[in-house]
Amino acid sequence: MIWNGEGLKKLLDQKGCTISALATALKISRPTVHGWINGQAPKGFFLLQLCDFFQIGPEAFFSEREVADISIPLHRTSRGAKLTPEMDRVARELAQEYALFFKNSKVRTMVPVLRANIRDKINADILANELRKMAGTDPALPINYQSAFALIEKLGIIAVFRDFPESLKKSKAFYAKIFGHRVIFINADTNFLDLIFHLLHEAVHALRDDTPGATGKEEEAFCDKVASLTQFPEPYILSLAHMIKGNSAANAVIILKSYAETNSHALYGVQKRIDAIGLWPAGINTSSLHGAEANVRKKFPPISKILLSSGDARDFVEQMKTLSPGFITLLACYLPQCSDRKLGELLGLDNSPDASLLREELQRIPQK
Amino acid sequence: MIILCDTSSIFLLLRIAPGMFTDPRYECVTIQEVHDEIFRTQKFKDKYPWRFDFKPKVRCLGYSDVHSRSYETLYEMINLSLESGVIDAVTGHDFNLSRVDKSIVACALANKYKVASGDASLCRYAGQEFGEIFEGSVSALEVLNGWLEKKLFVWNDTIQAFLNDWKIQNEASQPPGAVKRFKELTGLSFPR
Repeated sequence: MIWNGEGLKKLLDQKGCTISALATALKISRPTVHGWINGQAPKGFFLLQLCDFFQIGPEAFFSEREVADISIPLHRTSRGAKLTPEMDRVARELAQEYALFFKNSKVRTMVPVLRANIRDKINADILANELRKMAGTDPALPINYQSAFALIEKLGIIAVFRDFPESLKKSKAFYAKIFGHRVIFINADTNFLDLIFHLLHEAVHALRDDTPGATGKEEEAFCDKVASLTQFPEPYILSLAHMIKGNSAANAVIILKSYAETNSHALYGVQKRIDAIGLWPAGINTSSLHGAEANVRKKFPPISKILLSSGDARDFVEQMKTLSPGFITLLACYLPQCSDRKLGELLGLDNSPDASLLREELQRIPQK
Repeated sequence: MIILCDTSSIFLLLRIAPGMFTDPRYECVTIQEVHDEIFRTQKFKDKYPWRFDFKPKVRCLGYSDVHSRSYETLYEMINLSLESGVIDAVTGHDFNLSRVDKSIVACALANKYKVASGDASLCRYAGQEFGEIFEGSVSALEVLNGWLEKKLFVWNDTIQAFLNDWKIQNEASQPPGAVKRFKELTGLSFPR
């Protein structure tokens, strides 16, 4: 939102009132009113007086910026849940809490990555290969969460952890562009196992944000494709397909479960990929993966548990420095500009005593 | 003069004067959001493990007392103006207050309360933007001095021990004027 000086002029005209009359009524000078009309926002007390004078709410004096400060292209919901206008509104509200922080923080440079205008398998492969190279992981293994976060950092994207409001609970993460910063909001309730794919999916959104027409269902499908190819390299999928071939359903599930546990991924992610290349054994019903999937998931905690595992503010900051160093660095620079509570809000800790402890820890971080 | 107490000042004063919200002579009020913050489970080490013993003592203003029309207008105004950018004359940066901070400022302005908060930016914002109607802010020690002036309690070793805790817990420093006045009132040095 911005102060709308022209709106004040219109209100004066509608009321048939002159600048002088307003200045007299508010016991201020005419140049002050001219300044407001020309875009200089009045201080709060005079804004209150303007509301009284015009018998109008404060929103009448503000307008949206011409170029949106915040854009949220789309959300990826979990298991086919529908995207609702309410979800969009709540996500926007959440992103809005970070508007001033990002407005006043230095924009990080995005690493140039191949821009693909055609959303086909070839371009998805190329993009995924670039991302895997950048993540620096073993070419035959899935990306783990540490590598996924390191990739986000290398790309210049900011990862923010929050407890999502109720209407967003079905989202694991969403991407937003806030004052030029590319930000991925991550639901702190999300299990690490589920997170990697969603993190990569949102990272692809962030990379393609400036690509014309990069919205809609096709774009979502393309981001899914790139995220899956980035998380699971082709050799890994082929080797799993080879291993389960000829096994009973029970044995196949055991094999998949063992690999999922070792390499930190969900079973369904690989099942879909094996199926997509036509190698999923016809005799194995996907519903047989339910129990194994649930068991594997139990072994991976939600992010909030990792961040708050020791109950110590210093450890929290250390974890944050590992997972989201870009965000922590910006926050450390921003400390003089925000109240304790605001700091807590930015870090998803709705508690000022906790936030004051964090402030002490963040003050130790050298500012760049 | 009624004082709207924020979380940090309540942690400092509650053990010294458990009746601060129940006895009108103390002239202190607080809001539900602050109450919730005090009694919410903390995620990090609990600096104030005694707080739950005092839960019945922290009474807050009712919803209808806080959410008057003028409060709602002020809250909206504060929200919009902060969103559009209000530069802190002291730091040169935009003010950035949380939802609860905004609520404290709006409540203080709507009801002509003073504010006792350890949060300097919140107080600076209220003073800078609404200086004509803001009743001002006071430190926890200034509140305490006010109670001593009114002779609401007699200073004793237990109270002194609570005050010593401020230093042990590394709480925010108190204004020099308030420290001097404390010595005049009690004959004791404020723990530093």
